[in-house]
Amino acid sequence: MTLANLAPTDVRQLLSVRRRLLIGAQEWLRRHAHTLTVLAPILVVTALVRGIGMSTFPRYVDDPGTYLSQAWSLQYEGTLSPYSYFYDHAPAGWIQIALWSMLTDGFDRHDSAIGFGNECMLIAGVVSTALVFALGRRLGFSRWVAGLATVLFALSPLAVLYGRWTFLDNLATPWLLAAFVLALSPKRSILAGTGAALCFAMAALTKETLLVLLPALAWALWRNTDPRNRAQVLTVAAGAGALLMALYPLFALFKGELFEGPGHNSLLGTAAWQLAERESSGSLLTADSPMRDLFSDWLAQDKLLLLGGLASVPVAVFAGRLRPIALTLVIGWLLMVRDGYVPFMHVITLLPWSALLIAGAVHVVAGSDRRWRVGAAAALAVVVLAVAAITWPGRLAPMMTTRDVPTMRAAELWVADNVPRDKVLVVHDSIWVDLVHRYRFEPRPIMVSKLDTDPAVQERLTRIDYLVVPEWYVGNPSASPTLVEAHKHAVPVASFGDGSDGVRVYRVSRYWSP
Amino acid sequence: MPALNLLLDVSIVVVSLLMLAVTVTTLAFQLYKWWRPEHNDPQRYGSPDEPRLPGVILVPMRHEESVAGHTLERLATLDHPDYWVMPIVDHPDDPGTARIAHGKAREFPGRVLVCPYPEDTDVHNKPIGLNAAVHRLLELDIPFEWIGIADAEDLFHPDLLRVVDYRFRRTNAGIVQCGVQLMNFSAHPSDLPMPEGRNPRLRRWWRANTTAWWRAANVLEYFKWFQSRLKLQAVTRVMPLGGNTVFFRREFLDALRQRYGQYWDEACLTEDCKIGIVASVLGYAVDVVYLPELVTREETPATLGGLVRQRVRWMQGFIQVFRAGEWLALPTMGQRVLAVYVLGFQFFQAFTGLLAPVALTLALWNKSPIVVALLAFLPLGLSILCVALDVLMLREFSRTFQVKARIRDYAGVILGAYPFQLVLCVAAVWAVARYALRRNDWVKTTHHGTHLPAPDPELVGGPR
Repeated sequence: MTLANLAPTDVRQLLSVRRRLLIGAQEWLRRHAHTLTVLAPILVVTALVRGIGMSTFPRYVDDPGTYLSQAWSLQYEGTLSPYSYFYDHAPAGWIQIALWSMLTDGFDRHDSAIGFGNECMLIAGVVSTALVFALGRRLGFSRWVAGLATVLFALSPLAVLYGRWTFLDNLATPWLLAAFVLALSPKRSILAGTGAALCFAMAALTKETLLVLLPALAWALWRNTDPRNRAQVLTVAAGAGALLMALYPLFALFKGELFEGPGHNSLLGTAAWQLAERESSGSLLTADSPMRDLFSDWLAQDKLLLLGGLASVPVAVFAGRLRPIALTLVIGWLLMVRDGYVPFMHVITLLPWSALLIAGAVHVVAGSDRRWRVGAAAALAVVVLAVAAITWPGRLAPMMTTRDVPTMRAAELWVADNVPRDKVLVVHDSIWVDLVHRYRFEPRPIMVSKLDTDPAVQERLTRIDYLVVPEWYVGNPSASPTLVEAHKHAVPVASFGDGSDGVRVYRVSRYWSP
Repeated sequence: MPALNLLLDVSIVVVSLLMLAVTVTTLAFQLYKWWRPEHNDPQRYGSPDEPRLPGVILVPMRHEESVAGHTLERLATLDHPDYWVMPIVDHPDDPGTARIAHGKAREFPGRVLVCPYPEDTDVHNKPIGLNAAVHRLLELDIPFEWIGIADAEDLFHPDLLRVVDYRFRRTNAGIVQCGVQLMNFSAHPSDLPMPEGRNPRLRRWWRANTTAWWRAANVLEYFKWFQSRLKLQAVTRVMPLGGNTVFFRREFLDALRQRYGQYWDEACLTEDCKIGIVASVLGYAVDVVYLPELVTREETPATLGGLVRQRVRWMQGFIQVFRAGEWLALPTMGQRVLAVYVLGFQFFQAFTGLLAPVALTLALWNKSPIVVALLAFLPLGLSILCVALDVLMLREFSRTFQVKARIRDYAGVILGAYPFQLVLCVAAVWAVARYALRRNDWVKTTHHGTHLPAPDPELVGGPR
């Protein structure tokens, strides 16, 4: 064989690996140059807006601390929780956080665990943003329309606020978006279908409630498959996804904790409680329901994305590819009117699909290349962007400029300076990792959420010296009884902030024991 | 004994990872036809134009009185303007078949030509006959551009040669391998011949229902091999061939002879496998054509024992080819790795199927860390997925060939999946043992009427 009659692929093989990679990278850049000119600036701005000020805003809430303590426990103790794991959530979310920490020494790089959680959320947020763009393109949007969806998703004050908290939903979003991106792959290959199913399984293992979106993903995948390999794609995808998801119940089964029984936690027991017995948030349609209050809080942050997305659902009638996306959003809204428990961060699930549907409306209006339609679409896009430009900056500015240390963080620093390390502390979840990992309190502080819920904690509890919890915890009628009792025998020794968000450090009388 | 437990855990992890690799690649290989929609396009082979290349079909025959006449007649009337059919018959040893062959030669002058099996050897195997036939062609100065191989019971489709002719010219391949398909999967008794003796209906019913599980598995193996596996291997250019309905370009045969001094390796148990590897070494592409209406239809071995013997022979042949080391000359590292995988695949697959549940059981019994147990579960889970795909394949098979697959056929595929792995394992162990004991001969078993797609190199001693 002479050089002349080698195929181009054969010539490549003569080059060094490094050179081949270089050529490959150059080709990729050339092919995606247009995309990068649109997407790269959006991603940079997203990273800046979401990143600047994330250590001081928003205030600390419960869940991030819990998840970070579980990630910490996985990295340093090899267990899924520092307390007994009771299947409240599937563990993939904090497994990912722990893996990132193991790779990059996350808990030591930051001066607080919450800071590390913020970093994880920033990464997830930027990845989600890029994936919204990719999904927009797969839905047939032009680069500019996909860019519109991306901007709406990335910079909505609602998305920035909820995207900063270390919530499992924020980690599940990139997986869910990736699942749809792969499900709509133009290659329509088994590999893409399987990838979609595996990503969806990861999303569901990160936040199990996303399972309700399975019909939407299945529909998207079904629509996009080709009759020539549909049966095979769907079978392999379903099998692979089910296999990955099955690892969670199998984990419980192998531990003997799948079924309910005396003396141990169980996956099915917790699931039954979550599905049936958990207190309902009421329906969005009922005035004065907790759901309605929550919804007003969301709207106060941003009306454009939430209501615009809902208003755009009907455009799916005109564009077949948008229908599964619309279904995803509709399922999300139905959960809010069904009169069941809706978590505080449920809105995260609505945001990317709302952004895509608003952009989808622009896409549908533009339709063919007729000039007047393109003009109308451009006008619509300008209106949307104008509303955003008017309403968002006022909301975003405080998020990026607040310099006040969060009250809980201030309390943590005070405790670290003023409380002997051998005292028994009952603390808010969000500062637990820092007190254990950074300030080495021994015995370990007790997370307030576990005080009355974990039998092992109750068994070992002989005294409590300090309480470090937000005010609303103590005043809350459903608060832990041990906490309320301890509070009765305690005096405040330090105070940070005021109102129900304020945090006080209490010293508990040494003559009282639980 | 914590040390022992740890050792067991580590072995479970290693074995599980290996099994995972095998099951994932098995899935990937057997699904190649469906990787992307284009792989399964009805028009992917193009529509054949007028044939232009003269060729020859070689038909090695031995004690085939029952089928020889019919096969030769069919082969003589294929739709191609310029080809010869050359039955290879051992005249003194097998006068019956010889008589039939000569009869057909008289009936189809200019089409059928009998080649005598060489008399100067006591060994009787397929490669020797094929080599003799090629020499005979050269002696008689018969022009040919390709040579096809048919077994004595193979009924080629009338249009097959047109497609082969077209594919040779279009793809410039050195070899065109056409599909071979076992057909008799059904548990329905009417597909089996009525046995003699008492209660024939009952016995036939019993036989049909008790053998359907492995026949269905065997049929599906062919369905997957020829549609997917071989195609992927052709793309990657690491290619053991099937034994019949395979066509060689003259140019390739000449290159083969130049390099090795002979066309087919007369001492190899699975010379078709070897020739495929050699084609890659020599840089010739293989084209695989599986068109359902053109496949050569065959039957499974008559008994489970026959199936095992056939597998033992193939596996032993693969060991031989592996030891011969021809694959070391493949141009790229990737191809060499793939060659090891392809040659060892039968073994890997057999043991993976068998060990998957064992590993999980061991992990649970040993109270291994949960991560280990979950890892040990994955190969088993993927094996279950493979069974689900087999069910899908059976449905596809029944649609493609318009034969009815009944509930019990599906049940047979599901329930028979694990036992079939056991059977393959027995064959694998036996093959390794035979190889270790240097028993490289293969005595012809008494399974007449069994269709063996691989060649049957037999050592028959005694007077001739």
